[in-house]
Amino acid sequence: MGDYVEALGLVFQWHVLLVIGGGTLLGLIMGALPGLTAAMAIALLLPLTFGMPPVMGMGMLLGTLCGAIAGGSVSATLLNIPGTPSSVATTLDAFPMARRGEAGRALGICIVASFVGGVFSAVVLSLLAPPIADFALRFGPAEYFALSVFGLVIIASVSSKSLIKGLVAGLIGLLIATVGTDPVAGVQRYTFNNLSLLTGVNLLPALIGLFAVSQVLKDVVDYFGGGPVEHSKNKMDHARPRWLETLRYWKVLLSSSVIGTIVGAIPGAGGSIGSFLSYDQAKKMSKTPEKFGTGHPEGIVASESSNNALVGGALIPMLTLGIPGEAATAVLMGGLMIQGISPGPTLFTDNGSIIYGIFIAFFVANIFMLLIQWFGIRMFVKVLQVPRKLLMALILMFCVIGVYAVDADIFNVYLMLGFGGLGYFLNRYDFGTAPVILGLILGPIAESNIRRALMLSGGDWSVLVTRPISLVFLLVAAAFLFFTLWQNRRQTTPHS
Amino acid sequence: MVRTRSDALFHLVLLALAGWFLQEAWNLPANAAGGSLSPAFFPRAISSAIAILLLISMVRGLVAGTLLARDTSDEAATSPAWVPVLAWGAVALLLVLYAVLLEPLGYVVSTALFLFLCVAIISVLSRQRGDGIPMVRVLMLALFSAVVSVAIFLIFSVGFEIVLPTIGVMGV
Amino acid sequence: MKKILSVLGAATMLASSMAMAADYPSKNIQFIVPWSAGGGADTAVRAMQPGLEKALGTTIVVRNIGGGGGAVGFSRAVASKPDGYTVTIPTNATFTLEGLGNVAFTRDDFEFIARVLVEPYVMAVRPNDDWSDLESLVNERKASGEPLRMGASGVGSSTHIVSLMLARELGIKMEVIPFDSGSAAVSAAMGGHIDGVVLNPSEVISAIDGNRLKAIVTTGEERSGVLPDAPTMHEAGYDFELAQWRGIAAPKGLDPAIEEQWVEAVKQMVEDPQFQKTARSIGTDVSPLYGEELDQFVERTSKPLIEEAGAIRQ
Repeated sequence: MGDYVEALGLVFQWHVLLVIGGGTLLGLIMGALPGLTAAMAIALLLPLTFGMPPVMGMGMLLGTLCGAIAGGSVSATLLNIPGTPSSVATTLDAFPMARRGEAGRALGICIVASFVGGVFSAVVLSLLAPPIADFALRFGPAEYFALSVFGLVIIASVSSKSLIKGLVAGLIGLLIATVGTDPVAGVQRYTFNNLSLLTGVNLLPALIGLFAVSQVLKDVVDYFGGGPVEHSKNKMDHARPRWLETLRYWKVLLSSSVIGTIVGAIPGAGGSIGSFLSYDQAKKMSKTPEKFGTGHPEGIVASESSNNALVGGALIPMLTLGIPGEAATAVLMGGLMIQGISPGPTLFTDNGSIIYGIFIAFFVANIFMLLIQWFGIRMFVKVLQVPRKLLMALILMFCVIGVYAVDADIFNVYLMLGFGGLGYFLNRYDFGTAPVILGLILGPIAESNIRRALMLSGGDWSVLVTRPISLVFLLVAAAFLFFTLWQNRRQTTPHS
Repeated sequence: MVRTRSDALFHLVLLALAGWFLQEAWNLPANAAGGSLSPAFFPRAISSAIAILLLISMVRGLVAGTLLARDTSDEAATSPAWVPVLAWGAVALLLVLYAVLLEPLGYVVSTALFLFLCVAIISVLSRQRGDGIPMVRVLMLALFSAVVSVAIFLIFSVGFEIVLPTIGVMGV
Repeated sequence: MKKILSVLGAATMLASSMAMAADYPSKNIQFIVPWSAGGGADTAVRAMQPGLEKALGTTIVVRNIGGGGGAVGFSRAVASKPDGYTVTIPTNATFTLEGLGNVAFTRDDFEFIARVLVEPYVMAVRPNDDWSDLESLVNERKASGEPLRMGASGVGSSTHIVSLMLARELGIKMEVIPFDSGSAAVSAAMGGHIDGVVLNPSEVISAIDGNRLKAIVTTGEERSGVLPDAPTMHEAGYDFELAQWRGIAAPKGLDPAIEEQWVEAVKQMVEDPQFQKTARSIGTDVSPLYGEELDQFVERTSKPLIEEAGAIRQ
């Protein structure tokens, strides 16, 4: 208790609050730009933290992380540019809603859902971190494989127009994921002596190509066909946090926050699938599953609350075990270590006030995220008032330099353009692009882990069903698959 | 608007790609250490599955009679059908050129050119027949392109410390 | 005429290179990190940056060129002009990439300027009734004939290759399982899915401090500063020594006068207590080496790594 009081004193000083807010703002801006990731934003600010006390420095970096995730949702909503893989699920409903002229409403729901998700994960982080971390450790290769199979079932759920075409799109993603040095034997697959492909197809160029570039290419065509949208008609009076509308879906909010936090806590599970899993279960529980994908608030609530709950979740194994799940938490952990603080169980006993200070700073960062977006929402929506032909050219420019900035490698830009063309045609013929991303994210997890699991079991496939967590995931995956097929059939029968 | 013949064509393109991936996968080593799966297993399995599903999808299209039906054109189109296609091709080509010239010309020059040409192409193609092109707007656009590319360059390189390609003249 | 021209040309080139060395550095220096921000090499460069900037009197621009597990960035570095304005951070990955045969460069394409930091490889295992130290582990595994299942940080990484070398040196069967990252391997070991890991100290220090893993041997010349309790292979009675290292290298053909300036700058930097503190907190030991000794070190370290990596390729 004394530690908590001391920690409060460490956070609530005006200069500490100021840097947390500043970090959040910078994260928001960088997160909204395609290609610039949370990890890059944190790495940028890292040197500034060397001279700060630990809680102040970590608070700034946590603010940056929260801001970057939130910023990614802004560009996903307005322009169909998912800043991170985890905001892909947000584009599914928020972008159609924005296209209907309700960008303010879509953002308003995003803001509230993100805040709830973020705060929920902060509570879980400060109360339940050690047991959740222990649960995460029970994930071995077999469990990761089962989890990725569970994730792949979502392909059936996000391919609403034609199941077969959706599956083809998902498999295309899986196939592209096999490009590069194979993860277990080190064999080159489809690399053609191209150095940039040695570690496989980089996810960001694929993401930005499939969503943003393909969307602009479609907009170019629509521009001449009269175009279904007139951005300037966006209703500004909707542009405020939509508290009641969002909290009405409290069940979705709660379950998505839980899923986001737990999936986020499993290191390397592709935290990004958390928002897809939440979207999927919200659709299954919903009374109106057919509205998902058309600009339905429930879909936005599910994806966004889960998306931000992932942040708190990802901090759990990093702080309690010293295991960063992905790039952004890895840079955060580097920041902690340079401060001379070694994450892990000893952090709780040796540096109580610091760890609680970090928890409180994370809360504060979420509040700043809410406030900055609250004041910024009208400005965000105004982006859409830029004349369409200018906007299209500017989006393409940001995509090109953002993707170039990822690795300072022009090859990634070509890759993005290739994915842009692919995505355009996949959308045009109703295959869809979300399944491709799922395949790309989950393919490497599925393949490397099943091969590791079989290496450890000496070729015995029964490990998948004798280990309880793995068995549960596989059973639930099978049940979900049948449920989705049944739900689809029920929806399509009356029409045919 | 129903596009069915081109749908069939797209199926064939994907099928050819899957076939190519499958054929390449036969050159991968198919033996695996310790009873695990070989590096060739997943590429082969996935590309075969794609090919099978595409065939099923095509057969279903044939049975439903939609696969080879004539494309119906969009009645509401305000401009000739070739204009959007031309615009699409021009923007795509421009993007490729932008990527090719990004490093040789440096960020600022290539971006200013890209922004200018991209907006100009769309404007020219969408203008009504007989409209002139006012010089003032061309100059405005040129100025806009130059200012935006310099401003973004400064924000990225000074603000975000991201190294963008330069040609080494006056720091751009 | 031609002759005169070529002589003149050579003379001006020589003069300009001398002039270059004299007023070096006259512009910003680009430090290529062949991995994305946040990795061990990136942290090391950012730790060296302030000290080097002060000593050289210029700005160092850190440029992360990721992709290909270091292959893209190193290739870009050796292809640039050896004028001292482009340097990179050599590590054991420079050698394993060569051994795996996916890249066009070899170690001879680099001018190695300095070794700055070293960290050994550490073998850390889950606490177990059957073994408590290296000796009991080796005896138990030899008696049972079961393979030891160890995680490494990626296929073809130096941790993967060192694991294979350690197995041979210790005379036990080892199944090396490559994970996607060092932390993924640590998490699998903590969860009991594998027996242990072979990684660098910075990646396992949290697990060891939390008593979830035990460091049983390290591969350095001396004990690691962050794991003072773990014996080296030498102390355990084996003739084996191989450490991960990070330093500074330029493309081949660097003017010796410029190289000398760099060596002086590194010597100044390593004296700085702030740098020493940062190096320690990221789990590495400051152990500078230059010139002839450095070349011997590169030769000694690269040979086995390249051979062993070449064997994986088969």
